[in-house]
Amino acid sequence: MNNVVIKSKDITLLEILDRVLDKGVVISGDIVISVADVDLIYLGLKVLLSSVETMEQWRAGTI
Amino acid sequence: MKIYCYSIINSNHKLPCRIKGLQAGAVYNIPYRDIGIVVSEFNELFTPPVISIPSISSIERDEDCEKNHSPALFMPAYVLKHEDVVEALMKNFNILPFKFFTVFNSNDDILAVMENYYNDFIENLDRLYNKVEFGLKVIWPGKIIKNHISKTYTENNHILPEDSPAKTFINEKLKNYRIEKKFIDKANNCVDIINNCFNKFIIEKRIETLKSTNLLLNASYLVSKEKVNDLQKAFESLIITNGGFKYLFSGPWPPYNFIRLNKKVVQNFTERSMYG
Amino acid sequence: MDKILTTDSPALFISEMAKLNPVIPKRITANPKNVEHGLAKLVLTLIELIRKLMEKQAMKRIEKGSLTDEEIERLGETLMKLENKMDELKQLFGLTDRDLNINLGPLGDLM
Repeated sequence: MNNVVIKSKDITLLEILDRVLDKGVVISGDIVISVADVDLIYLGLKVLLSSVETMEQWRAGTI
Repeated sequence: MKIYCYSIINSNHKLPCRIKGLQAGAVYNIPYRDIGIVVSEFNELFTPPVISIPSISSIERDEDCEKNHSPALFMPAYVLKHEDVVEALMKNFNILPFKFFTVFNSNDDILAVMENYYNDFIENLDRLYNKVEFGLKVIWPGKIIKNHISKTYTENNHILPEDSPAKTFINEKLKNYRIEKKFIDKANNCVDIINNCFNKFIIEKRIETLKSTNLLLNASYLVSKEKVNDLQKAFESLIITNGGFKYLFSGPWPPYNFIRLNKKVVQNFTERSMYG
Repeated sequence: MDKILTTDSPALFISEMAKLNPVIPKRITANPKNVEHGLAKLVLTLIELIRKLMEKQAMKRIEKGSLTDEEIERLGETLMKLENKMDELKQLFGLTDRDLNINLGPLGDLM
């Protein structure tokens, strides 16, 4: 087998994503059930609301 | 301005070197008792350019992909920068890396998290002292193997007489069940053989078997720094003896997969008084 | 210690991992326009989960040989009816098997 040491950005990125996206220190859970676009479950948690909120705004392109 | 978090570290001192983080923000350590949380200021109103990953965009995706995938997939620069900072810290400290994009509204929230999680953080820092993570992914010809199992499935006397639609239905389900079982057993056997190569050197492992039909194994191994060479040698001999599969081996990584937090309930920060 | 990333098939891993990398779990959103749809999805997903688990348990018991011929017949009929009913419901709400497979983040896919 020809083992290749990879400098490929794509696979490096995928390997990183595999780790950073839902592992490491996770302050809160991941399932969000919302009604009328309001994140009900985490309303009391400013920590996660900030990151979900911001990410949602990015996703919607409103920032 | 928000506060972007990279990692917990086992130090309450200023960082020994200047590190730039996301948005080129200065990375600094906020001390809490004998540990610290490493952060940088983050302006969430600044939209990064949307960059898609060329090789991924050329892969067929379903039309919901854009909606359901986080913008993180389109911010490779931020993800890479996050990891750069974490790995720079790893050189000098014990670290507990944060999940990507943990952003706090204020220092009060950070303080509250440190108070709530202090014991958890200390326990993890101790447990993960001097340890790193390696990843192993293995692709096998799963579809081909499953087809083969399916083709060689023979009617035997365990199959029920097909004297009713219900029996026919059951026979079909039974056949699928047995093929699936045989396939999974085979996968587990292969995974055991692979893990046996590494068991001597690793402290802990997290494995996912058959995440997809062809992705036989997605494993993370926790290993102490002294055993890294042994682990690499074990990998090299594995690919020689099991050349039929495809391997992806990477590391050392910060121990993303081995952090265990016990805290389930998070305080309602909006009720906290600033003065405790 | 330098980081290494070694493989002989980068393209293969890229394609496999890209397929499997859902990021934020699929959200079950309910807004006034599609609240029925969102709820239907949730309910049907849970029913599918239970139904598939029941089928699996049934197979296990049949394999064990602990069921009589009559019991197997009844089991088959019931499971068959359940499957047909679910197909109907899925069609009614325009949902595919794929739609009903929620991703639970670190817990993987529901089914």
